[in-house]
Amino acid sequence: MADVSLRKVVKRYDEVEAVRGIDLDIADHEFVVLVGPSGCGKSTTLRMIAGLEDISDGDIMIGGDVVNDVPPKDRDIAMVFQNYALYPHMTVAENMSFGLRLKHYPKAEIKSRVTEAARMLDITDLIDRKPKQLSGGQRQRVAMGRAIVRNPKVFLFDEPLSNLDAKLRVQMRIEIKKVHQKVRTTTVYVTHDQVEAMTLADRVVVMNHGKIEQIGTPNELYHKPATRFVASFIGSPAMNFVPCRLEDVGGKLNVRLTDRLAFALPPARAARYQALSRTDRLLLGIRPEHVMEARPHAEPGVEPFDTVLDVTEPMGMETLVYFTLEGTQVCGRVNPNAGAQDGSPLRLAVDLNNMHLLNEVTGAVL
Amino acid sequence: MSTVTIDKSGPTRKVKYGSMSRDRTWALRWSYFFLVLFAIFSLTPPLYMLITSLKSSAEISAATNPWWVYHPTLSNYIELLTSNQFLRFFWNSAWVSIIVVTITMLISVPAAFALARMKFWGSATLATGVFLTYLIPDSLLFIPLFKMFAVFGDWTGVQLVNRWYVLLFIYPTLTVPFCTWIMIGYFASIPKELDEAAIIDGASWFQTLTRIFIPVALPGLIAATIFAFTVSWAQFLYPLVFTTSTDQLVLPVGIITTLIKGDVFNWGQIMTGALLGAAPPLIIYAFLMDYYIAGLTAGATKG
Repeated sequence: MADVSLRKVVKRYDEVEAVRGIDLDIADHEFVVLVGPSGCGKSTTLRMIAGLEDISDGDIMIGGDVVNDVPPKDRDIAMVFQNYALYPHMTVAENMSFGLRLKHYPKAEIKSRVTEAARMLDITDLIDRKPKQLSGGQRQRVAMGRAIVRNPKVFLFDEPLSNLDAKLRVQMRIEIKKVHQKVRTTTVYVTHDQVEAMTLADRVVVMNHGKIEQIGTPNELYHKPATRFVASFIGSPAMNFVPCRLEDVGGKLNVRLTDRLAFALPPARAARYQALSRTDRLLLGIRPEHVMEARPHAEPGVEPFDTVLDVTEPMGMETLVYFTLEGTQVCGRVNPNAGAQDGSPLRLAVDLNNMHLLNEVTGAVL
Repeated sequence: MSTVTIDKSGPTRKVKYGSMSRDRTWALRWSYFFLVLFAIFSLTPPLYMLITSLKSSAEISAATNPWWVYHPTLSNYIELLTSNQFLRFFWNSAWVSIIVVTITMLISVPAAFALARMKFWGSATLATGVFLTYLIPDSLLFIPLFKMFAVFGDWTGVQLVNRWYVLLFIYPTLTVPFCTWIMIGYFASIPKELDEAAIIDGASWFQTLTRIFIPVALPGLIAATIFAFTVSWAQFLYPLVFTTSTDQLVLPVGIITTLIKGDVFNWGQIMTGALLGAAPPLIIYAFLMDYYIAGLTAGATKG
């Protein structure tokens, strides 16, 4: 068990900078998820922590020791790969014990560790099988078992669930969380799936173009995104962004979306945005769940408006509605009984208490 | 109790063979046609050798049907197998082939591993270079090679020319490049994550090679072994050039030099010797083919 620190870590491939100066502190026992679109440098970062890639600049510390030039086998880490990387000619037990056997652990110790890990992962019956006799989920368990028996300082997961089907992915996600609750090993987990990131992580690190966009708990990222990228990446369906500007009407601050559509800001929001320039090009960021059907007794800050729906998507517990504002498609979530139909008019309401205002040019959340 | 009949048949329709199955039938027919054709083409010479080996010299030169044995005899076999000379050739060939195969594997497997996995400066160029050396024909190489060994003998006094073991230095120039090339291909097909997992598990490069790569690439290893053995066993030009004394000859050259006396061809024994010479590779093929199971990597990654 140990903490992991990255200090201004850079990875260059010839001309291209894949990772551009990352600072990250991961506490002991913490479960941190690196998330971002493909090519954002998250896997490279993980592989640098593992020692599979050299770092071009900066420092990586595990348990307080700088490990820049320490080979992977001496870093005391274990890694689970996307395609499992099980040794095909070895049985499950041999796969799991390979690392211990290389280090010449006593046979009894190896056996007890393998048995314990197999029991934890519910693969005791498969212990004598070869990888090709296992299903995808079982292989993934063996790969995790191989990491657990080593009892390392840090677990590294490189998109471990991407090869599984949707149902199994949800199941294994829970399994990974359970394992972490039991062994409490510091974990760095890479995924491109924001749902996986949100559900597993103590803290999520959102990366884009080789840089960290934001670090925070899943709730912080969802409710207080720092940039447009984070706001749009976290959450599904994604946050809506509608071009807007601020204007003063009769001493009150309004946000104007179109010539005909403007909303008065609730007092708390008005105070927060008062100092902003009235000529700046801004974006109103609003999550779909804050665009819902209008209710008879409007709560403060919830502003009704009329629109014509383009498309509706009934999801069962809710219906997603899509409409267009000045050429921008907006998504809302309404009650399935609200009578939303393709092409029909509907009175919706927007909850401005949960709005975000972004600078259209810089993408910063204001 | 009333019975309910359920019509499970659905709408009836005449079963038609789709174009897929028709294509397949034709593809099969053509495959069989060509397979039989090539089988005849390649099996006729050995059959002819077998027939001739069972004839006496008198019957071979008689104007009878060459495809039929009227007075079968095993005298050719008995004479060859009791001749010390022939057994000596056999022995020389066996030693040369076994040692060359061993040398080849000891060099080409680590070389292929290094070229396929340990990305070092110039490794890609080197890998291509290894293959290019294989493309130079032995008929171009034997004169400079002979010169090299002769000069080496003059300088050091160590006489290698006209010793059977000179072939141990020469055959690897043929086998090592090709086997290295085969093994590079096999090693390259092993997923990168497998050696990364091994490295993280604490394996050195050498342990990764011996405990992961060699077992996983076993089919490739066997293919390379078969190749190296066949090349060493059947090589003709080099032993013809480098060995001349009868007791130093290997089988193919031995048969030709001792059984052809001037313009007298002892056809019966030549055919018998060639047939007996073809036996060891055949046996090795048959034995190793059982282990030559491709797809050993199945299950390593998402299958």
